[in-house]
Amino acid sequence: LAIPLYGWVQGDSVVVVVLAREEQTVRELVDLLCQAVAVRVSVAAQGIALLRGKRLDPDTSLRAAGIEPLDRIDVQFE
Amino acid sequence: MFEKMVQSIQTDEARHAQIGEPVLAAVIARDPERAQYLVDKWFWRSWHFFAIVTGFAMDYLSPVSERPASFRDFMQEWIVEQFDRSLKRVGLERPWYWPSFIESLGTYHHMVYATAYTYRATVWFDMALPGPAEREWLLQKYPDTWPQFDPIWTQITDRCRRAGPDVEWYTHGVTPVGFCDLCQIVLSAGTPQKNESQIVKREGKTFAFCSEPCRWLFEREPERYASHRDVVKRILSGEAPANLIALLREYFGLSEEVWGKDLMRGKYPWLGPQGPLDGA
Repeated sequence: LAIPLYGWVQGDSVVVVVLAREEQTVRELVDLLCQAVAVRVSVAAQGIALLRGKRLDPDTSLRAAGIEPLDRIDVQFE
Repeated sequence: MFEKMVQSIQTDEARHAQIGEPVLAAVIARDPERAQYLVDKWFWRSWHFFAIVTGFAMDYLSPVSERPASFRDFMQEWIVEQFDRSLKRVGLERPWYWPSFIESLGTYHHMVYATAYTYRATVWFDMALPGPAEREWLLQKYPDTWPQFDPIWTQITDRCRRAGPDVEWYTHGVTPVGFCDLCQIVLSAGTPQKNESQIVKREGKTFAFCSEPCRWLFEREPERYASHRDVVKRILSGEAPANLIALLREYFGLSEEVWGKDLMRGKYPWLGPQGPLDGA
């Protein structure tokens, strides 16, 4: 099932909206978001995803991570 | 046409300036709490639009040699100090969000400009890519905040250089951006290190706010704003296409002839050798 999500990547000027699939992994979502903002943000490292401030396991699926439509996912770099 | 428009604006604004304080004094006399709320509300809403219209013009769209001051300098002198004095004179408090407003003088219009430049086809005017002289000037004027924005322009400039002239879409976003359910402006409050937007679930619906003051204003009068559907909601409901080009052509009614482009079509002398992409 496709789910729309708000996403913000550290270093960017705006929150974007992407369409992800519930069976995708968190790591794939991070890649999707980084690709979506590549026009403004040069990403040199693997980012970590956060949902309401809580770090998400990159190997878990979006469904298992409890991500719901229109949640905001933040991507930060350590 | 333009002269008549400016003249009309001048007379209109002169009238507002003339009647503004007597009207406010009358409201304060009857209901000071409501007067404070109205000031808090409209100062914030005006600030966002003013920052975009005037901040863009002063800090990005004027030649460096013609810039008398930065937008923040201008705001400090003509808005912050005078507004502060006016509030004291009429017996009102500063808006509760005053510290974050002051902080955003050095960030908000920079955030929105970077976003707008990379979504310029969604507007009907051209936007300029700031070059080395502009970025140096911005660093001098905003030494505390500009270092967070400069990497964004390094990235866009690098892509512009690699793409070569007349290639708009390599420096243009194609993913939809989020909009605030209160001010209807993009979710660009905060800084590149901390975006201030908030996602709120309320009575089975999801609302996005660019900032705490916008959320606060919404919650004071939800019935006024809750039914408005922004572009994202129209895309998600299937009313508008998600593909940006289709959105521009079919939903916004814009054509390539009229939508916004890079002001110089990517032909900036300071870029040096450019493109092509496959040689980068």
